[in-house]
Amino acid sequence: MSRLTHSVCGKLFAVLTLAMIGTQSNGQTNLDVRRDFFEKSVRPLLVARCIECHSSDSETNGGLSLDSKSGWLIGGDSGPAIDLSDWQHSLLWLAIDYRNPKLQMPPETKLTDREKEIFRTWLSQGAFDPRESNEVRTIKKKHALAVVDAQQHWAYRAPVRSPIPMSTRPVRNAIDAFLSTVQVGAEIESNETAPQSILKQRLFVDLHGMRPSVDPLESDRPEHANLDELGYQETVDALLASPRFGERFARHWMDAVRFAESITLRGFVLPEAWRYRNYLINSFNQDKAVSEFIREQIAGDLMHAESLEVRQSQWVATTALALGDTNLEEQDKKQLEMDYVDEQLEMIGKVFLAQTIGCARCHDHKFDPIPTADYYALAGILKSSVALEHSNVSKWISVPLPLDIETESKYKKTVSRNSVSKKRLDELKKKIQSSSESSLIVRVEDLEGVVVDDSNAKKIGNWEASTSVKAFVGDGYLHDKNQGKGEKSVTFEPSELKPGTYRVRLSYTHGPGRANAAVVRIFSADGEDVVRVNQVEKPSEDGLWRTLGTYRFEQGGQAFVIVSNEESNGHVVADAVQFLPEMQNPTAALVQVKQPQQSEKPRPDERSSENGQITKESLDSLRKEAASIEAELKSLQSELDVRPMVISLRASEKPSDLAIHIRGSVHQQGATVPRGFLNCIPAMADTIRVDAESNGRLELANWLASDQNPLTARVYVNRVWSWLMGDGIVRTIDNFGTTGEPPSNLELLDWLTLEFIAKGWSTKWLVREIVLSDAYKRSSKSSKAALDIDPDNRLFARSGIRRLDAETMRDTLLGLSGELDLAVQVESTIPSKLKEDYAFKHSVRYRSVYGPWFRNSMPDLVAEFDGANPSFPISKRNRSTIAPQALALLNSEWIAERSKRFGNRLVKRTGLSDDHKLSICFLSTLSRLPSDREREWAEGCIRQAQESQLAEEELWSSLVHNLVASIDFRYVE
Amino acid sequence: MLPRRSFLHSSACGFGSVAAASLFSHWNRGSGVNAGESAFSSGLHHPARAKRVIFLFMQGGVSQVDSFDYKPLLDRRDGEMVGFDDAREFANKGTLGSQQRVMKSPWSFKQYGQTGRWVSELFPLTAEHVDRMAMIHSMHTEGVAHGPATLFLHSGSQNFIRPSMGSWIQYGLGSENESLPGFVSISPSIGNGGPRNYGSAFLPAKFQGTPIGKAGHEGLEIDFLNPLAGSSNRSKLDQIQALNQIQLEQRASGESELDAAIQSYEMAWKMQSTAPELLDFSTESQETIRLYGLDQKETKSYGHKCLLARRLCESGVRFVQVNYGDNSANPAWDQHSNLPKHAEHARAVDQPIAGLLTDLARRGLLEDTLVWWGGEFGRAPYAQQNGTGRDHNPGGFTMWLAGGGVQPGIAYGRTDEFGHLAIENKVHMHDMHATILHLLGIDHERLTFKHAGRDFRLTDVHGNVLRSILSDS
Repeated sequence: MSRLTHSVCGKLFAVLTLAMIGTQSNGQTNLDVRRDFFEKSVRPLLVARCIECHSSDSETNGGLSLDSKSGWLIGGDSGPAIDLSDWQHSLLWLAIDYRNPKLQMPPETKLTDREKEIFRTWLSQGAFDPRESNEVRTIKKKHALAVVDAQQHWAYRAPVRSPIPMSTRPVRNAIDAFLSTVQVGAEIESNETAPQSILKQRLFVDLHGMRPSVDPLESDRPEHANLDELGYQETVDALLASPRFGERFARHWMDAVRFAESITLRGFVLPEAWRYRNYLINSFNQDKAVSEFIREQIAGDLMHAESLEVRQSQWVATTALALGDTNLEEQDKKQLEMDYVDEQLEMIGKVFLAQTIGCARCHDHKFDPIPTADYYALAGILKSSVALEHSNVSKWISVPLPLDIETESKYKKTVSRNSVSKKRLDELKKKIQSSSESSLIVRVEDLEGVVVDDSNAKKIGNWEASTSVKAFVGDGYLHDKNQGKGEKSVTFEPSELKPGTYRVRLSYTHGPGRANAAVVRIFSADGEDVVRVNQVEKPSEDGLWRTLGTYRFEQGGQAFVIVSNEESNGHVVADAVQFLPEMQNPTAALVQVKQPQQSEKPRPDERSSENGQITKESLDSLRKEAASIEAELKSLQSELDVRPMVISLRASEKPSDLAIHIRGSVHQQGATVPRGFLNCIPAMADTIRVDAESNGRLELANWLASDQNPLTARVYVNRVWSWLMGDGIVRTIDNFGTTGEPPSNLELLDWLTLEFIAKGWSTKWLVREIVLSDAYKRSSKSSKAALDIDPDNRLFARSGIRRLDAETMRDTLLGLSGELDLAVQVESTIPSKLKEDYAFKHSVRYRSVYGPWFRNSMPDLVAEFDGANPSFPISKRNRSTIAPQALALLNSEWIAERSKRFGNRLVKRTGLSDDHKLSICFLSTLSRLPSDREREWAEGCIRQAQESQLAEEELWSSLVHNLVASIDFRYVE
Repeated sequence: MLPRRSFLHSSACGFGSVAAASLFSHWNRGSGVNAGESAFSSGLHHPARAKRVIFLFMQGGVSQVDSFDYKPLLDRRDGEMVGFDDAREFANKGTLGSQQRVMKSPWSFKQYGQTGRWVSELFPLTAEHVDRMAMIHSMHTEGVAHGPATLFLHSGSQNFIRPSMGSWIQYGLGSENESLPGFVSISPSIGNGGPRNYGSAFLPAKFQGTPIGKAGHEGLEIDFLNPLAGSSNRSKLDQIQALNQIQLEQRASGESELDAAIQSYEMAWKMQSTAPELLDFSTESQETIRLYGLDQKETKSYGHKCLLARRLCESGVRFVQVNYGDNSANPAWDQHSNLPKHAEHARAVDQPIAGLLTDLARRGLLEDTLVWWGGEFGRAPYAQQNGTGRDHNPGGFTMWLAGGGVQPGIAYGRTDEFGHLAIENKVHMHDMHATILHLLGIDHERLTFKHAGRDFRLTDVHGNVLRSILSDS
């Protein structure tokens, strides 16, 4: 300790001692008084109300122990419990004060006033506490791998290229060589190759997500027709070249990125999500470099593009970040924004890095080298883009899709014409209204829409009925007598209002003594809106109405208007409320344009006569002009309605770093951390740091998709492997952290990864390499010996059986009935006016990938047959075998209908023997001819049907229905 | 680690490695309630006090100060402007202490039963059962809007995708009846989270709730349960099973999953034969029909659902949720304006609920059936924006429990003198979840499932069992 410090301490001590002596009384030292107070009042209170949870020998809540002075000085996760320099803002005081709903202690029952007073006295007098900590506060035992030790875990090390091993067994390619070494080591025999017919079924299911159909009925699928003539390798190439491949792989990717076209809460439809689906299909079909594919999905909107086409596809790719099934209704918008970012991070972590980053939101990761600081470094990047527009129910961001210059400028013109004309129309209407002689007493029956007159409204407080000022609706109007401010209200609630969008208008009688800012609240599906109405001014519409706004109302939802006399000076008047049905135009609202300068010169038709009255003739011409502008607006709007939009993010103008949120709470913030990436991954040469003024997302994209990132390429290769081989080399596909499983063959994973990068991150190369290996082609037979050594088939010595997923079943069934439309890159399949996804009737005949994929109403069969839950990233679908699936196969009218249509098609074909028809039934459903026993079984069914005098088409449809329900339809060897 | 957990976890993954035994394990624990001593009847972690739960969900939020939380002060100070800490205002603006107009209840209160509990005239028949109930007056929860609060009530989380409580219970205890699903939601709403409120999220799909009927639709049907025309007898199934047997024998691989698929048809057949009986009320006496209010048009709909709940419980279903709600964003009890409309809803549910309690008690089912009543939150004791209704109130409201393992005739916790915020013995929704699991013999801290790299549980890192409301065993 330096001499200077020493002397300062000495002085401070002297001052303190003096102060304490100075306040001594009754012969007791001040210390005694405070000790006494602590022992008699504070300690019992701490024991009774706090220590049960907050002690060092219990698992302390929030890390805070209150059983010693050092306990509260050090404090818990949120910091010191008592700040002696400012006790009134200490966490302990705030908590027992019970004013903040997020910070209330004790949690069950608040302290009595007397108890609170004890704490107040104690704290205000310096919180004397004689209790020493019995033990040095132990640092909590940590199991987590530290960031500095991250290289101990395989996944954080760079992949290593091992030489392709020499195998004692014959091998087809490098994959087989790597696998065979391990299989030999484990003394496990690999299975022989499965027969060609089975292999082709396998290829079709894995690469196209469809059963091969060799029925001559299917002339529109050339790759199916000459299946027998093609060799294995040619088949692979044909399948990879077909657009069906992109559809299949896009569907896999859609599982991973929780693709859906609606939001669960309120069932909002995402009308532009289809663009992202088509982007995926396109990317896989074009074999886009996966590094580019990843970059585009993280930061496409910020990337440079060489052509319009690329630019569009980059914008659409970013939709990936905006598909979370978030709770847009969360009222605490700070919380919502962080939840949104958390969802994005969870997705990015799982899909690209196989890391459970979300675990570090509230505390350092319990197992992996991901500190909370890293979480907020990444969160800062995502937070620097705007993903939501807030209102009671917040909304995702839709922006116009970039178009060619000509079209863009055309839209720009339309937008500006639209706004100029709107303004002109408003002016005209005002003029017409102020000059036309509106009748002074308006009958409710004469009005459009739904009108609630004051006579039918619910009144709170003493309102006076009056007829003295005109015009009004009904028998009169109400006013508050300019008394009892804040005590009175009138509620206008229609007894019935059809769901839809309405312009809501209030009528009142104006005058000089009226309130100049009467509070009017509108309750709609979008929540509560407040409008202040100046009742001194004449109502602008017909001298009677003032538009409050345009609102959406739902079936059974809230729909009412409250006029209140709070905060008003002058008489508040309430006469009637009108709900005028209207068409909504979401697109127009999003386009913001500068208001063009309006010419000040009056137009000739506006010339007024001397006394300010407009002549009859000019009124007519005003009306004529208004009508023509209305027509023009309608056509402009219809142009804008078809303007292509895309769901995306908007880079915020001021990107900024985030503070660590203590225990994940948005209301308790700690130190700010610079935006950056995971520190457990060594810095990469080609990765730029995030500059202060940069958004950061592009840097994140580059960091993720770097050749040197040890996780990204490995994670992708493992993912594709699992799509084709049934399970990953690392079986925890989305968890490469320390709690995930280690790879069963790291050398193979690394070799494939490095080759994949060297081949330009080519998915088709990877797929081809895998399906051409012997490992892919093994039979699925499992001997007892094999089951004993490797029950889970981690060494890939045999093949797993494939179970058709729901989409494959559905597509195959639509093929059977002849309904399947194999159009590629289908645009939106959502009906244009659909706003909510509830109880949607799926009737689309395209491949299932084209949806629509609605979170509240999944397509047929998908819910029963383990379709991916579109609310969170899925890397491996569930594989359940349960009775409701059997019930669906037996009783689903949808399946029965497909079988029936098949039967109808079959009997229409003349000149076929029963035997031939039987073969077609088997080929169409099981992709093979019947065995002898199956033929015998089928003949039995036919006989039975004939005995019960079934019509011929019913006979065949029943037979096909049986085949669809059989295990060979759903399970491919 | 819990053996059950690890085994379920492993069975949820894998490509063709799932054992048939594990696939059907949840059907195989004894059949029917009276079979009694199934492996888990004594609870998963400790002896169970309840074997099953009926949750009477009052969607939209019943006003506590107009039903079970009597606050005479509201009468005396009706119309006064008083500072309240409004939850919506706090969430939106972070401000507290706004002036609100106190609004008295339009309904009068009266004391009932030997315990003299006060209940409003909205629930005159249910009130006759107060001596059976444990009233929890100090509930508080998360979420100011319906969607979040409804999800929180069902899954313990408002923003994340988590399994529903019934799914957790199924996962922990399995079903008691091999031919029926163990978790049923009667007439669920499609709004405010819809299927997520009975979904299994990351738990295996077999634990998800089976909906019977749907909100806004009188019929009570189960998807795919009705046989297609002309296939109601077994012959169709026999044909399929014969073909399956041939195909199984033809295969090289002896995958157990294929056996499981074949077995699932037998299970389906059992369900198909059992369920229609359950949905057929013709065997119920006229007296029972009247008891549940099936003879009156106002009470018929909810009465049907309550009666079905009793029948499902008798057949061994673990968790039955009986929904009173609709599909709108402002469901049934959501009286932001026009509070008197509460009377319509109370009229519709009062007799059915009272009938259910009477019926369960006389059949001895109330001994080990826990009945749980309430909404996603309560309502404010003041007028919303000085109007004629009450806004949401997650800070204090009443739920009640009756039956299996709960002390009858008690009141627990207290709200402030206006009935606004819970102040004494506060019970968070997590605590309610913990307590219900406890009654079923489950330790909420030990019922976990590994997902996304960590163990999840219904109560996250929260929840305390309300030991003082448990009856002596």
